[in-house]
Amino acid sequence: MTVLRRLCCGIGYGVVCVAMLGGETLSADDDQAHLLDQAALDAIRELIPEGEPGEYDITEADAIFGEVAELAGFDRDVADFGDGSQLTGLCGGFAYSYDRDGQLIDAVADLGDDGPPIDLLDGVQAFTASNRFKVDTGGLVTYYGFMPRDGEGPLDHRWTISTAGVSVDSGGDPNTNGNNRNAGIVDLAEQLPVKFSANVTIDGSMRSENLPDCIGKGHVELIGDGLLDPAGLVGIGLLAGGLVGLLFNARPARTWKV
Amino acid sequence: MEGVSVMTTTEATLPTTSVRRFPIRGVLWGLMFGIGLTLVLVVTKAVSLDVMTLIIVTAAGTVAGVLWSLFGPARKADGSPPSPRAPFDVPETSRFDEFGDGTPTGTATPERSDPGQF
Repeated sequence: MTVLRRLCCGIGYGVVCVAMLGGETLSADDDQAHLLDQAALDAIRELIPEGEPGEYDITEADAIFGEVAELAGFDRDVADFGDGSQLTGLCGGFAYSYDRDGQLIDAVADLGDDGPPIDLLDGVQAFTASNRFKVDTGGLVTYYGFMPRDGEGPLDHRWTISTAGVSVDSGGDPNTNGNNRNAGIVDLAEQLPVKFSANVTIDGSMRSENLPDCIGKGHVELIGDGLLDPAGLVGIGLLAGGLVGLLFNARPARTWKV
Repeated sequence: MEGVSVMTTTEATLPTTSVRRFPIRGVLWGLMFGIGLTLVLVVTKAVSLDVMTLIIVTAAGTVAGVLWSLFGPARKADGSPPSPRAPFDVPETSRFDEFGDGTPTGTATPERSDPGQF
């Protein structure tokens, strides 16, 4: 669980913020409809560095996000959520995932509106069960997240991240300055003591005293070496040991009775 | 004084087999099998990493182990069957036993061997 905790913390704020977009963004049986036309997709791809993952500061990341949002044809401005009304999707951002060789393997963005997160490489809905966000457990993820993009950020916020039905991390901050965005890089190769492969569902929520809750979940594919990872080898060992024990030690036996 | 023993004969019994089952072993090995199966299925992405999935697969492995230990085909008995119990002599206690020289009735007194020189 420590591994999962570190991983989810690592992916953390940025990626989960991208996934936090309300229930309608998740559909296992989505038809993979393209949300972006090809021209916009090609232009967006030009913005994503391939083979050279960089770490952005907030200003730079915000500018990149603005270009992505503009190319995607969405309104960059997030409406004021008004008095007492609740709108989902005020949190958003982008995340780029690179493998251990520094090659881009996935890129997603959410524009902070009610629309679903977008796979910036394929132009289809991201974080679905059939189009998981791919993360190499030996690679890294760069991210930028906001809540909301314009206006005061969440004050005295509390956030939780859970996966596999278990809370793996939580935290919070008074955020007295009202910061509303964050950017960074997560080096999974450094933070994860053990590499493994799995499909997981990550749930996240952020609550604050001044903004509506940001709640969402997304499907993530953790890419490792499969059965050659330590977890895989342990699994094979236990499986083989259990099988041998069942066959030769737990099987009913006839004994002579005189 | 050698006791009197009366030899009686009982009926000969043929060796048969009985089946021993090991449900506790089945639980333990099945649990190990189930955990291993769960790990393999997760890392090969055949199933999602989810608490309920993990519990169900592990429990299924354990139950399979118990069922195997209870209803699996039994192994053959080890070794050759013991020879049928031959008719044997039952020494009948004699009232003279109590006056004996300490040698059990019905057994031959071992011959003295040369004690040798020490």
